[in-house]
Amino acid sequence: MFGSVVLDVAIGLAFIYLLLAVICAAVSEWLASLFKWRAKTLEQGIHRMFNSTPGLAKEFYEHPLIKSQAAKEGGRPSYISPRAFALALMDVIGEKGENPKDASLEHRFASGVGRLPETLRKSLDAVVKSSAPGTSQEKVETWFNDQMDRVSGWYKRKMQGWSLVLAATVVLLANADTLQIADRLWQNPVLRTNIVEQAKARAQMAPPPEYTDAESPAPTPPKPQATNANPLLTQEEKNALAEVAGWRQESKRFREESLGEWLPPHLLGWGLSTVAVSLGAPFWFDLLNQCMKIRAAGQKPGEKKQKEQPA
Amino acid sequence: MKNRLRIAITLALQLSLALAPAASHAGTVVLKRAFVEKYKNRATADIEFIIDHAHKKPNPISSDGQDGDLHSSGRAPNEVGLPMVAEVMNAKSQTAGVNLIRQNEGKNQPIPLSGAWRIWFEHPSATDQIQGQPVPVPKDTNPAHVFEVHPITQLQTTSVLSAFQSIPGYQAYDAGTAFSSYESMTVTVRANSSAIGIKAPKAGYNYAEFVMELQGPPQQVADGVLVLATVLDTEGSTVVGQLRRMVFVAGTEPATKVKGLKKGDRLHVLGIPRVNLERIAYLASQNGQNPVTTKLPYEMIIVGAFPD
Repeated sequence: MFGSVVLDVAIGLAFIYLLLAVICAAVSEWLASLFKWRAKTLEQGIHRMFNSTPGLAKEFYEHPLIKSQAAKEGGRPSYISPRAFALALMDVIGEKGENPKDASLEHRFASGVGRLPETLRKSLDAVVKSSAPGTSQEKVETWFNDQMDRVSGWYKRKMQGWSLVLAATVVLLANADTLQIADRLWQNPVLRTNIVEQAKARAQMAPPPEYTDAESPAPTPPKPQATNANPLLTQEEKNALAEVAGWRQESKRFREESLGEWLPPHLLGWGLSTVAVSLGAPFWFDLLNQCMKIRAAGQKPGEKKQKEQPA
Repeated sequence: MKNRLRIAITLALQLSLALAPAASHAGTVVLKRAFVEKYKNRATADIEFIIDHAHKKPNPISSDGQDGDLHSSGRAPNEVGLPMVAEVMNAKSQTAGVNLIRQNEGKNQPIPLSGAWRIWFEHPSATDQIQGQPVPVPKDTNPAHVFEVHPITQLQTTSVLSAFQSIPGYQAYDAGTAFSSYESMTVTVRANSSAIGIKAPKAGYNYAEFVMELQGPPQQVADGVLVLATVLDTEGSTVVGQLRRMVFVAGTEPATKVKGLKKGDRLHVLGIPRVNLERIAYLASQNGQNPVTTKLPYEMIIVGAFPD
């Protein structure tokens, strides 16, 4: 009995962390799209590749092959395919060379490289004259892929920093205090059962992969977004969150207790929640599933039978 | 501690036994990622098909499985590598195609065959079907399979495209019945770096008659047309309000009709469902190697357009 209460409280906490992490992920995705973080990080990576050669990045982004990869007219793309990168860069550099426009791209590129500033010329010489097999275009593509691995690393680190800030904000707004949530789940068996049932539903069913853009029957996968038909959190989950967290029940305690009594335990609880939520939704989804498996294996046969009987 | 372990093992065994009958109605197919990527936005597949068995004559025509198709089973080790069947629709009117199947049955010689690829769990196997593993010679025309070429569009140089029409005298499933079933199915997708496993319950309801309302422009792909649409019944009531992908095979009458349509236009059609590999690939990309259970993503191959 004691063991199952502990497990149910753990499941309840994991479930609440998962819901908050899902909210954080959606906000983070929205911010990334609003502030064009992906496109900007990509641009930084490309500037670094070009050794900040004056004007080159501008010419590169003006190339039709790159312009066409942007989602909006005049915008910067958040993704560039290696092939488009190589062809556009070779074409832009080729225009600086002496070879006529009808010469092959490889020849024009080779001629243009010689006219570049020394740092970039050295980089490109090392790339193109490397002993690895392949055409110049393939080598430039490999160079781009290598750099993009690093750019992905920058982006991940940036997002990790943001996820901590977002987690703290969401935890505070929701007053998701780990100590308080655990206490409420421990004390209230009805609440605990309700939360575990919600957790079970969340663990079993992922949202269906619906199409959201009717213009794209063969789309490049976009990130999932909440819609009315497929909301971020179900109404039951929102209710569950409101029952264990939120500021509604807090105002009375705040009036009754002094700040010195009230704040320190909350700071600890919020801190624990912030660290937990910043671990991300996939982490808590996996953990929740594992807890559910342990719970299913430890269920008493009578308990299971009773649940299977029709009402 | 030992006692608890014994209880846990006993419960696990009891649970497995309790779930065994349910599991026997589900099937799992493991596809290579390269295959999924190749076919996810394609209407058809071109294969070299060894015809092992074929029906002597087409199915009769009335309702359910009596749909006028001609069934054949066989193998396509290079392109498919799974137990499979291939079917000619409206077979009574496709004498040349049917004769070719009959002539090549049991010869153990591959012949070029094209048609709409289809993954559907109508005849799942009790064991996992793993793409690329040796496929045994089927014993009859309907081995346990989830992969089909259905309907066939071409056999050697003989076109069967004119088979893509409503089936005269056939009572197709109404939209409400068929789509309630499609919409209630679940799938579990489990992926790794080279393969995607798809587990789904046994499915049915092959031919459904419905009205599709275009929600976006038809998009041309290499071998057909894709369009997102909502689904209505023949009375005009919405059956599925979310976007479902409709697949048209190039050169067929329905494909010609849909090309001239725009958002908001309606088309009264006959369709057969298949697993939507584009959405499966999307699920796999979103969930990494974590298994995910969700609603089965399906799409409809439009095999006939009604004249109204």
